[in-house]
Amino acid sequence: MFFWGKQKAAIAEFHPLHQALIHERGLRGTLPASAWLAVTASLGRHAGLVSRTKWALPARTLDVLVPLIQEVCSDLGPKGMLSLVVDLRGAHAPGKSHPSRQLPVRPPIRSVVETWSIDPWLTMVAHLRDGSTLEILVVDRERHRRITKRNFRNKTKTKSKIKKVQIIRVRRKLAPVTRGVRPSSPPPPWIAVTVQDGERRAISASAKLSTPQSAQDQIDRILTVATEPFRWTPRGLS
Amino acid sequence: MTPCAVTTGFFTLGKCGQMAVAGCPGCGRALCADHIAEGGLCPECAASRNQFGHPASAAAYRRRRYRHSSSSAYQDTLWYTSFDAFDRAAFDPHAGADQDYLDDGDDALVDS
Amino acid sequence: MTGHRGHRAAYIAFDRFPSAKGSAVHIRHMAAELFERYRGGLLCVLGGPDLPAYQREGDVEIVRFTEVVPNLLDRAQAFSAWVAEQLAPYHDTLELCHVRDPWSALPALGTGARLVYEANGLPSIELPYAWPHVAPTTLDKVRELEGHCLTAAGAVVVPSYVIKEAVTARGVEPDRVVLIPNGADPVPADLPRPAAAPGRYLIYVGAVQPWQGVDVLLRAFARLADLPDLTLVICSSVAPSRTRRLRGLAERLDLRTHWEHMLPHDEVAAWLTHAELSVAPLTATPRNLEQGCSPIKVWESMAAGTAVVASDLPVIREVLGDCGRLVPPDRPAELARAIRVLLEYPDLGRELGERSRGRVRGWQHARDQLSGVYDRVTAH
Repeated sequence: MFFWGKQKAAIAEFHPLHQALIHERGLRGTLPASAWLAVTASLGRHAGLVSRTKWALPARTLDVLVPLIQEVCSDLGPKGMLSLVVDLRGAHAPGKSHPSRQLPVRPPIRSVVETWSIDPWLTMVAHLRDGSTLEILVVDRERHRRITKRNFRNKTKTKSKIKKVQIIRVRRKLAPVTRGVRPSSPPPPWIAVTVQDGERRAISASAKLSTPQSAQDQIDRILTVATEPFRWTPRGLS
Repeated sequence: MTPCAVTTGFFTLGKCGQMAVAGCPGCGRALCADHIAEGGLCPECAASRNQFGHPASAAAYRRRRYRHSSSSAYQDTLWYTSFDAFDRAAFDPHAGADQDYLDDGDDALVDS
Repeated sequence: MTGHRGHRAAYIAFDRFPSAKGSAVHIRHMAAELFERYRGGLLCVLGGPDLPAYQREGDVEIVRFTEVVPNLLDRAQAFSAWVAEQLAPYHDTLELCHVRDPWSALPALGTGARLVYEANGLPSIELPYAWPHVAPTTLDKVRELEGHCLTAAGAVVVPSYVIKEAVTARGVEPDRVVLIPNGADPVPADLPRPAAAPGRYLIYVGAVQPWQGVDVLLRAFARLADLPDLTLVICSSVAPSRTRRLRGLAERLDLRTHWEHMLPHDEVAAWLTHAELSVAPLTATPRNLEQGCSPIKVWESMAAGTAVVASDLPVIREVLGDCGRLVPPDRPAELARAIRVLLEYPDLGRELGERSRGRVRGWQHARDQLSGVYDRVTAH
């Protein structure tokens, strides 16, 4: 018997996108609602079958990604497709950081090295049952500064400062014939809305926030920004 | 045909509308075969009894919880933002004028 | 197929329905008019332990809010959110919403339908009685909220002139405020005497909040102890737990009282008809003086042909006119004296009862007036 044989066999039974999430910490796919619900069902079985930490699901899978997929799928309708690009490798994965640069300094500071990491961990495009297209983009942006200074005893000290910001952008392209309405009240102050008129009116909502405290907080923020464009059309299906 | 009266969707709310095959014993609304949750209940009744086995009842619970929490961010349906914790504290059950009122659960804002 | 076609009208009330309270009578008649006009509609009310969360009666769908939220303000706001969710599927079809309070009005305003606000009371005035720790700043916010909803409504329906004054003071144009007095349907003269009824009795019908002045009535009744065969019947529209304190007071004063709790509305008429007198001892509080009310107990006593002894307040005078005996409020001795006079001259009482029966109008009259309001609101 191989090491971890049972768990390996269990993983082989999982949905391919679930396997991708385990081995590559990310997934990419365009599927209808029923297929996505099969993926979430497979993810739901993970904890019972796999215990090895190396094969654990990345953070934010079960508490953020799965509920989001389920909510969006409930609006897809029978023919709608949901495309999802998820990258949960974290902000320090290769390719996500810009080259470091030196900031100008004056004594007693010796040097300041600044590195930006841009982590677009969730991209979602959904064709909803009311004919509109919903695009959601969530980006974590991190600024890391390493500061070196020397005090009057000629001791060298370093410290790091990290500032994290999350950007949520949502765009809803309406179906060509849909009429829009202006909501009766403004959105919360932290959401900015722009409307682009064209053949298909597009309503974008964006927000820039500090990183959320909890997974629930994270979902609520994404959903709050995502529901904003829906206030710009008469509510309800006819 | 009686259509199924379960609310579906998160962003685009609508009624399910499939052909109903049963009624919810809790609230009596018509249910199609896909929306019968545990105990033959409708998803919303199942969610209010903390039974989330059926995906639709979990969705109903999340939708209700989300609407409840998000209404604090919006002023349109609700005036939440203008009432703070201090305002709320005066309406806690133990702050009532008459403690005898507690068990009754009767809570009209005005009497008429 | 009615379920699939969207509702065109909704009646929303942060009140339990049905219940033994006067508000339920009101909701029944007003909602009936609305749903008759639009051939069905959606009724959103509070649920209770033995009420179904969803009910369909012909074309009318009744949905009840069943979530348990301990804090009243949170509960009102959860109710708002819940109503918004209930109304969302009918966003395109709703034409008219009829509401009774600001927390029902907010989600209704969100739909874009025309709004009729039925102001039977104003929370900013009434809330402090039940919630004494409410800060003035909180009440200011409630008042602002009321003002917002009242001014946004197409029409405001009030049951009394005093409430009309209070509503216009909140910035509503006077021509959009319509006075529709409450009604009471005439009671047939030959109703059988309730089995539990004592020999000769005075009656009080209604809830027992402090502004109702039931304690004043009890103290007045203590002064009538020399009338041996007289009992005081109190038909409370609320649960026995709420009358515990008053029952304690009655016991201490050693009174002959008979308590009935949460009688079904159709049984109350028989109790009223066979009473010697009906008493409405409202107190002179801001709730009665500034906000106003239109006590259904007085209307129903009049319809039953029972003479009414009531506090001399503008709201009562508006209802009763000269068809009842008015006494200064909060004065047990004066109340006792007026009761004694009417008991000693039964002809006078009978004559008052007959006259008041002629004065009261049925609910149909109120419904016709409401129909006129709907015409006006939907016309523009």
